[in-house]
Amino acid sequence: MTKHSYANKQWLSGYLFLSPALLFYALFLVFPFCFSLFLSFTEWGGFDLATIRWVGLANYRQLFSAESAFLHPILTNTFTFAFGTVAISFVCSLAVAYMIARLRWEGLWRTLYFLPSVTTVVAIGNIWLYMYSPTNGLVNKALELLGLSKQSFLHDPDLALGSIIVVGGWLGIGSSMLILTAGLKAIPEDYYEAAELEGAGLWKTFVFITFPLLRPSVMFVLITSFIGGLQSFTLTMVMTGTGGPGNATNVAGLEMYNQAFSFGNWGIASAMAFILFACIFIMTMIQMALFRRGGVESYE
Amino acid sequence: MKKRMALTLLALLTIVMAACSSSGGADSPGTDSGESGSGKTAQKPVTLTLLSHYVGQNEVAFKPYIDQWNSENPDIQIKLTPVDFGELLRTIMTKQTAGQAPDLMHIYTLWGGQLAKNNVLAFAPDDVAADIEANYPASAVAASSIDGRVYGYPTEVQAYGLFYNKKLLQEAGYGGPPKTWDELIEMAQHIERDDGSGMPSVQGFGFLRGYAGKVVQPFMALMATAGGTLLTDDMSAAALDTEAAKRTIDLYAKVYGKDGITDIGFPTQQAFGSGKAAMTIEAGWWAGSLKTLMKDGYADIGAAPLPSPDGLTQGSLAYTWAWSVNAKSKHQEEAWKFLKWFNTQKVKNDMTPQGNFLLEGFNVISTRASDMESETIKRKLEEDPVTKVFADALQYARPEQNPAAAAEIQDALFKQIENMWADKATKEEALAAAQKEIQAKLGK
Repeated sequence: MTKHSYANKQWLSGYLFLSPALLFYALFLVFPFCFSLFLSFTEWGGFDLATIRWVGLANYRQLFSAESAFLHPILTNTFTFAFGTVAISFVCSLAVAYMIARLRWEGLWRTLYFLPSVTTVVAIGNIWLYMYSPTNGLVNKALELLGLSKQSFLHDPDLALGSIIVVGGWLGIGSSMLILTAGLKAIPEDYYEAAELEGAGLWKTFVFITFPLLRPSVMFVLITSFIGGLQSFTLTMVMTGTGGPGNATNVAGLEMYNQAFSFGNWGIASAMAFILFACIFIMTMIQMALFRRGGVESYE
Repeated sequence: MKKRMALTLLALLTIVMAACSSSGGADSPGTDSGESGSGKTAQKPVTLTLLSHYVGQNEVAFKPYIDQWNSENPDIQIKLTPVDFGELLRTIMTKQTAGQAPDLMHIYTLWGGQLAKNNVLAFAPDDVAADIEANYPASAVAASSIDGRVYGYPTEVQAYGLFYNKKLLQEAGYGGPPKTWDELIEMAQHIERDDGSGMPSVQGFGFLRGYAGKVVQPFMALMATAGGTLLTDDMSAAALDTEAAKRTIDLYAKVYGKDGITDIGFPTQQAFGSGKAAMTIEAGWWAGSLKTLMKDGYADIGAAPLPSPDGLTQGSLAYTWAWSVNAKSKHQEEAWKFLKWFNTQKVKNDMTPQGNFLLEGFNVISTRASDMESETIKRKLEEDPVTKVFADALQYARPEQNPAAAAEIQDALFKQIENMWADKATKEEALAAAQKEIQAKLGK
């Protein structure tokens, strides 16, 4: 056997070993991706592949037209939701992770904070729906005790999106806290000992030692939470049904779902998906560039 | 060794691929798997799949009639595929695309245009169409037709009316329900009570809300009392620029929002069931749910025709479901044969299987003429004044219009009404925006 033919056989064997994974990847990722990209240039009702009709850029033109609600308020709501939930969950999870690392029964606290993350979004959404109830919800009862007037949290368009963001942020604390805790544990104790000897207080230690060394974990949490926030729709669906009042809480994921499955506009829904994909891609690139500039190299 | 391993892997892959392709083929219609039959061979029994949203208790009430058919017709067997209402359209969509189209479908006629546009529905044979046109209310026939061609047997035909709580009306000094829109608002204001913190403790009048149909269908029903429809008769244009539409949106603007008589956050549906809301608008089927929920409290519930602007004009909206046959079915003849039996043959209580099932499963009366003439239905209407109000409404109700973009159109009007109630648009702006959006969707 020549060296060349042996290398060829190795190459073939390698790909044969990889083929189940590649087949899975092609079947469930590459093919749906390419098919939905194709659909975004067509009109299709979702029933019969023979009725797919090529319309070129018409779906994209419709979504970018002045009359379309997709860019505003739907995409604006999507970004507000993503930024809002990430901000709440990141700040809270960082504080929680930093503090419980110094407590007794650290595992117990971590489990308690993580519990919402293992509960279904539908259950969480329904619980908060009752808490926000204008007639007998817990939040309104608290407002009443404080002498404030009751609020229709999910029926007032000025409050509705914010109310859902609070739930989304709260829901994200557990998983973010877990990653940040792992990051905190990976920081060598020597740095803290040196800082203590130099007389650094808790705040300075956090700003000059903990946070810089935690940046890879922070970056991971921010990017994944932000992508999750942009793709979210279950919470909005459970808490408002249709993204209402009007379009006040409607987000891209929910609108895509309705366009495809309720109205049979698969072309429009697919075009929305690719616009959202482009947004997520750009935002992730920006986040990575910002972190690289700040000295994080772990994800290059 | 490596060569053998590579060959083994290749063989494994081939088996997996072959298994995938054969499992797909086995369920495809038109094969001899028994799923969808045996071609045109008359001797071989045919199994028809039936997709409906009759699940749980409804399935229990439905199944005996399917069992009866199956025992009497060994050559045409019916196999039930029940799915939740929320999943029904999606299930039809995915099965149709996957080549596993059900032979028989129970569909909401609002989807009729969308399904017809996508070649899902088979039109009824002449004898079936003639029978339907002769034996059902005009609104039900219209709703079960596309461009004047009938595609299915109307089933759960429902009209909208006013539900009211007699006790709350009497406590406020009213002897009966309102007849005009002005009376409705005036009575509701008078009945409304505040809990001291800005929320109603008792609501005079409210909509059930939640999703488009709960707001838009009452809108269309009320607009019918003012002589209007959502779309023109040929469904080619929006008709929200009419006087009837303007009067209806004016009425809606008086319910919620800055000029509203009540708070939009108040849960009317739950409150009505617990005797804390005096009036609302819903279709007749709701009476059955209220009866179960309220038990003895149901004695306080009354129903009346919808109030109208002048107190004289009768109007409502009727929506319906329909038994239909899939255009992709290879056994359409057998499918229509089953539907004819289910909807026209008297099997019990001098009624059709459909008539019996509706009464047993939903406490709803069948609208087929022969069922309506049965002693069972006559007795039911005499004993149950609430059911009678809704049965009478079917005679004058307008059909729910079902162009291909019907669901989108209702959603567009719903969102504009919500914007108005949220004080994000005036009633004129909301109506104009809805008219424009609906027109754009019709022009697609």
